Amino acid sequence: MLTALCGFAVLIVLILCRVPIALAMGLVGFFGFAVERGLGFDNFFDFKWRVPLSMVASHAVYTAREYGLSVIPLFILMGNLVGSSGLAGELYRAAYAWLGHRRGGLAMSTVLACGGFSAICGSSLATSATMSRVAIPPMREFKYADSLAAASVAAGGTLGILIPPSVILIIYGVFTETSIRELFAAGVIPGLLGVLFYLFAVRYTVWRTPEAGPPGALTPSAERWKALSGVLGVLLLFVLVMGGIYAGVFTPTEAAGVGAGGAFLIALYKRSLTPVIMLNILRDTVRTSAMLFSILIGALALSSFVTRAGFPQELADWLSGLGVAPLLVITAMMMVYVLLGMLLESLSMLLLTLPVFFPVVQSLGLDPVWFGIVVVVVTEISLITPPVGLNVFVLSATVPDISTRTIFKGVTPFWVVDILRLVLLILVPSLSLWLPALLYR
Amino acid sequence: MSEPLSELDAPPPQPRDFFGRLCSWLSDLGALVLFALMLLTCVDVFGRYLLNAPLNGGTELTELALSVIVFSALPVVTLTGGHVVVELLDLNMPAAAKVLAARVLDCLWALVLSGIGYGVWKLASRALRRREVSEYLQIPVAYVLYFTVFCLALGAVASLWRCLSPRR
Repeated sequence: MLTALCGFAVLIVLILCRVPIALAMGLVGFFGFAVERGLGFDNFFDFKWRVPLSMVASHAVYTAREYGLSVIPLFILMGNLVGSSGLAGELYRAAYAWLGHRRGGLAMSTVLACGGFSAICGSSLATSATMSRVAIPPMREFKYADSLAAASVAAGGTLGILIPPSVILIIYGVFTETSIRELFAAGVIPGLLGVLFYLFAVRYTVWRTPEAGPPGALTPSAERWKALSGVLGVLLLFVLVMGGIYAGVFTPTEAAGVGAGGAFLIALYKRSLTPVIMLNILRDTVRTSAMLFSILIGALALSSFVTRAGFPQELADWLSGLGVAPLLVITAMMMVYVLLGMLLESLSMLLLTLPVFFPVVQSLGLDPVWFGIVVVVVTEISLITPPVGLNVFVLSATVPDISTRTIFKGVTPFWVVDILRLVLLILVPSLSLWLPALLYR
Repeated sequence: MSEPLSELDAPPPQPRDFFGRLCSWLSDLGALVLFALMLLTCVDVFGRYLLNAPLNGGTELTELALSVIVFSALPVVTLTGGHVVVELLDLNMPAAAKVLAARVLDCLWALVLSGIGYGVWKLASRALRRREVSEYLQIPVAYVLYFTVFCLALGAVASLWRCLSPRR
């Protein structure tokens, strides 16, 4: 137990010293594992390094050969293709046509469009990066406060990791051997709830400061329907991909491949692809995948060490010895996530904590699907929590003249409704579990 | 309303020096394999449901493709600083210290990549000795593992090269 705690301490120090997270986790995992196998100061040179080395090597090889994970590059490719094909703009236009004339309507349209985009994109960063280019210019045109405009994109973008397809849910599923189909089904209602709550946050902001979100122009009803038809492509793709998974026609990997193919066809049809753009999209996707997989491999090495040190088991035994209510344990875990969220981005945070938390959750007899959703929602919150709200940084990188301070200020109401949603999801598990139960159990 | 710009109008960073270019080409190979994987999955699914002709060994090819995609891009991601880093503390270090830190990091990467590479090489030689092949297509597993070793080794050499080369 002491070794594991020391390991975590070293890990945090390394991460704070700007060692890449994958490298830090891998190194701590490797040396921690070696220590557990009897490495000490006296036998440093004649230690059998081959054992920890082959542990890391086989994690590297088997992770990169895991069929279930091949869905990751394909879903990222699909999101990138959709992002380049202008579908995000059409989503926004459609939402605007219906909501734009209301007070705060453009920000509400942003939230809705983000929700729609999340339904075909599995990553929060991609969602907010794409939506910021689409939604910020019109909001500035209508003299929206920068804080509200940017906050609606940053917060709306976090929906990307909950509304399926979701890269994080896939990784959670593979890592904990939980059904990805069920996780995807479980994410739908909490995701829609998120959209609803964010709309509420926009309403609240414009109620407090009406000049933050003046109404836009009214769209005549004929044009409204026309705008809605522009969304057909997105809808079709979503129905094909998610419908296929839900109905059990495709495995998630096949669905991702077909979805990427569909997005490719849509992009071709819209004439938004040149060979150069396509090559750049592919390059970008491959690199993002390599980056994600390195974190995954590092995390697996770390997990091997932590498990071998017996830390999760000891923690679970200790907790059950205390006899505390599961709700209290979950609350404590959520605190840990909110704290870690100030330091880490969502995937690293998830992979860092799961080897310890997941066995505890299992020993408490809690539902792994429900826990997955709760964890994803709390990591989502970390994306807009200072000081390392990653979505906020993406946004201030794409729109350089809005400072992170302004965005964090505007994001506060969104953050509050997020916490409310988290509490609701913890207290009412059926919000997450009703749909998968209906479909599969 | 302005037209949405593509998120990818700017290409991902391409390193200029010799090893950097080599790594970058390697990742382009991965990019092509990814495109092929997309086509393969589509063909597999449509063949199965519409033509009732499943593609044998689709799963195997997917797994192979995934290995190639992940490892081919690993060197260039490492070289261009594409890994996730937490930039929480604003380190007010003198420029020389920053350069030193970057060199240490390059060195670490070289060590780690070559370490993993060595481990995979052991796995590959074992696979070669045992003549392990994939189930349907009888593809020797060792070839894929040796490709992985090559990627890791190239990444290690390139990191070492960068560690030793002058920088601003």
